Amino acid sequence: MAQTVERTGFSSGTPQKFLTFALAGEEYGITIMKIKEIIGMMPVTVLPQTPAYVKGVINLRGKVIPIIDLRLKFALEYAAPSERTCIIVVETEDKENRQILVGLIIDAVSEVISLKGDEVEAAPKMQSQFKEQLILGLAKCENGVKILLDIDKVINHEELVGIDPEIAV
Amino acid sequence: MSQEKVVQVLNDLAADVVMLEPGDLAGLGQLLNGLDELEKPEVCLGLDYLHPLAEKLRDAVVGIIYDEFAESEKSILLLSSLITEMQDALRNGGTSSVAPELAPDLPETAFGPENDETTVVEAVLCATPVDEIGTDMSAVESTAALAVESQEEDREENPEEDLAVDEELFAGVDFSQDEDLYQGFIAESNEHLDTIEENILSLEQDPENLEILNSIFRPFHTIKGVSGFMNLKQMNVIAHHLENLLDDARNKKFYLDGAATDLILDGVDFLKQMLLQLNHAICGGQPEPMPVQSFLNRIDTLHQVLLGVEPAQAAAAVFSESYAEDEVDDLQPPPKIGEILVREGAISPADLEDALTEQKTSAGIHPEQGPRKIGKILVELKKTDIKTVARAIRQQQQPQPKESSGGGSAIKVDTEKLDNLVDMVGELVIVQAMLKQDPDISALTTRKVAENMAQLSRITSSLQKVAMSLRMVPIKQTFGKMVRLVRDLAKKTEKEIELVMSGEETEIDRNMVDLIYDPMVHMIRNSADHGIEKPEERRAAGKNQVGTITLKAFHGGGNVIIEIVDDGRGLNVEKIRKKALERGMINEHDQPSDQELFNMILAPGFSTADKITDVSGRGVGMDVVKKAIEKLRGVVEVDSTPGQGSVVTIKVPLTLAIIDGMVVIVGRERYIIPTLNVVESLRPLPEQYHTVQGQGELIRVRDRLLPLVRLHQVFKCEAQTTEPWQALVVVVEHESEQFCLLVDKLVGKQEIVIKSLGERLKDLPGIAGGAIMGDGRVGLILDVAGLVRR
Repeated sequence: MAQTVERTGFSSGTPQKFLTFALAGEEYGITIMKIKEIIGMMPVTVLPQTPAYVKGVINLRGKVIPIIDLRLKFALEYAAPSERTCIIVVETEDKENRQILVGLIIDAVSEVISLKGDEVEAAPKMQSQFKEQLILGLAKCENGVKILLDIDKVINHEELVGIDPEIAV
Repeated sequence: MSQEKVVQVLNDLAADVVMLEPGDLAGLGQLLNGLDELEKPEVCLGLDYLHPLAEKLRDAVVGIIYDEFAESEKSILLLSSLITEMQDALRNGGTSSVAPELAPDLPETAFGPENDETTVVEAVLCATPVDEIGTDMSAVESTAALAVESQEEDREENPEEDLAVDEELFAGVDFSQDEDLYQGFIAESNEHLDTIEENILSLEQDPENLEILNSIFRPFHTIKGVSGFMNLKQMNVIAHHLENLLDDARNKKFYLDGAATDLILDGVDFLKQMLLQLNHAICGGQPEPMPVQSFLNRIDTLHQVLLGVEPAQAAAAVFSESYAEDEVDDLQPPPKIGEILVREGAISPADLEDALTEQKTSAGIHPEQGPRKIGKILVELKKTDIKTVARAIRQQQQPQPKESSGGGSAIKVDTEKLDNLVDMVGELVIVQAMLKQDPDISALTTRKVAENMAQLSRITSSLQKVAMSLRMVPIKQTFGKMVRLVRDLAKKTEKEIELVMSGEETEIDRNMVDLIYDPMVHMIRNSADHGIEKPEERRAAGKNQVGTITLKAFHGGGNVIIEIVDDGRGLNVEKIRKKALERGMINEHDQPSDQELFNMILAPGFSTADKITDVSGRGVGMDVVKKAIEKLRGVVEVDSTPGQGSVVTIKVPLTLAIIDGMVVIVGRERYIIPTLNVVESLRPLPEQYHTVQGQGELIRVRDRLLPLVRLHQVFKCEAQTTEPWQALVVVVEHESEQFCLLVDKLVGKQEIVIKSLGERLKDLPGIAGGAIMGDGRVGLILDVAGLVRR
């Protein structure tokens, strides 16, 4: 528990807000502090010689930003975009502390929830491809468990350029 | 009744004074109006005790209008205290309790030690309450003495100031507090120093030109002021001493000769060095000691020497002519007060004549007082009234604030904001185009809609133009730096070189300015060192012994073209041919044209100089120029006529942000090939296609076999056609290496705005960046160099 507090930056007193979204039947959450905007799915220009999870780039009002398919990033099954498919644009820092915008393709946006420290548990060790260090913690809510992502790590833990044999589908 | 009216007028006056700023002649005029109101007999009936105070106030206001007080801010304080005094007097029914105590210290606060003695006494006279309110003349004398004393004291302080100079640089300055402030100061000061450099060389040509002198004086003055404020003592002292030197030159005490301009240039370098040290110190480093005191001594010695030299008699005569009439400010020779008044019809030319005669006679009687102001004389002669004069002075000063602030209408904007604006405007243009092409909208036939759409497209296109021009700056700034360079080079190589510039107003992308600087320096060094001959050699060749280097800039075909022309000896074709043979760049049988040979000097390590000087000749330089210009997607060309000089032409695109590109389709994606790399495009016949060992593919283009690169294979995507004779090949070139790219379709040529893909994606092999296409989607720009390296 103490570890959770330290890693998530939660204090039991002040609640933090998370945007939750659906991805392959599971619920994930990202702190709203990192979210710039949510846009509908749009045509993506494919970038050659990148891992499959890098869908390509889009024009976000004059800025070219990379788009990552979170399903493929987490080695989940690919799904064709539906009406509810969205791109969440997050602002994170790269390794040199530069602000970068990255778009994440997700299945559908759910809601914004407030979480206190005692509602979050550290991620248990799992026997899966899922990299547990990308998870801030697990939130226990009335309608199930939500996986809180450390979005900086999700985006930075692997290079976008060059094919990663482990992740490539 | 009248008392109420007076109270109201006084309140208005007080409010006016609060709003008053130094040099605000309109405000002063308003004060005079208020005073007129106050002195109307029906207003101050029975309030006679106010009269002397009002008189005094009027004198002070008039004095400010005449610019008699050096420190206008303090004189405004004086005004407000006078009004307070009047208000108090009114409240106490005529027994002003405040006045006596207030009076003696007024002049001291109001007038700084900068005034000369006569002005101080005069100022005290008009500022000190006269007998009626209980101050006697002895107070006036003592205050005057006091003021003079403090002035002397101030002079004596100077040696102390010098002693403090050799302390550790920036001792006692805390940078952690206002790092931004200091950084801003460094940037600003560097700009000022650059201006000085540019102008001082014009001054050498025209040492009597006051305007140029002022443009050198002003930046020093600013640096002095700001460095003093920021507690950078040593910088302050140096700038101050140089300013003094210039001030005396401004006052025609002497002319700045070669030694003086050298000293000022050295001063500029010294200050620049200090700024470097300051930057170092801000970053936490230990500043190295600098010989501040010895430099100060150098300035002072030269200053003394110059002061010993009598200015030419003729110049002195000019001085008394032009400076007799007004001394409001000498930043720009402003129209004279007398002339303005005549033009306005306030006085007749004959009145002006009278006043000028009066001025000259009085100057003859009291030469020590200096020339009297023409405006004052005119008022005394009852030719006009003070308000008209104030208006005229205001008119005289009007254009000046603009002049002195050096483009006061310009603001500095963060480049990121600018880029964002340009991005947004680009998007607006796309959205506008999409809206216009929208079938639903084009189906609307109402005139109103059509009109509004037309208006929208007009506005967007002019907005786009403005946005693009925001990044453009005149090339003047870069050219200006060359002036100093040529001067130094001429000195070092013992040649006489004149630099002529044209087209300094030509605009160029802000990012380009810094990138083009180094190549230009190289070229000019070459011209000065190798091109221009020594004076005796030039005379022998029947040329003007002063060599000329001409810098020209102009726009042509979407490019900025910069020409560096010298009238020196020109390139030696034979020497280049020999050198090229030696280096194996050509062989015995080659018959290269002169033009081709000239351009060989751009090859790495190529130098025809017989001896290596410390200026140039090591053979590095020209290829650096070529590389740097190619990086900017530009070209360099050399041409020369033996005995008459050479011309180097640098051609660079207007902006780095836009390129001409050929849009091609491969599979489902669009790619852009920079037009610069495209040689030609063709659909080969099956017999032009060859394979080597069944793998390497070649296309025969006329008599050459070029390797074929299948873009769909490189980018691992599905092509629409895979047979070269059904698709298209684009012949591209990078550093004279040519190869064919297999693409599906050619869409056309268009100008595109380059967008970075961001740090994370910048290393994609074969991709140079992204571009927003006409439909708002992203297209990828091919990096031909990257494709070659595969």
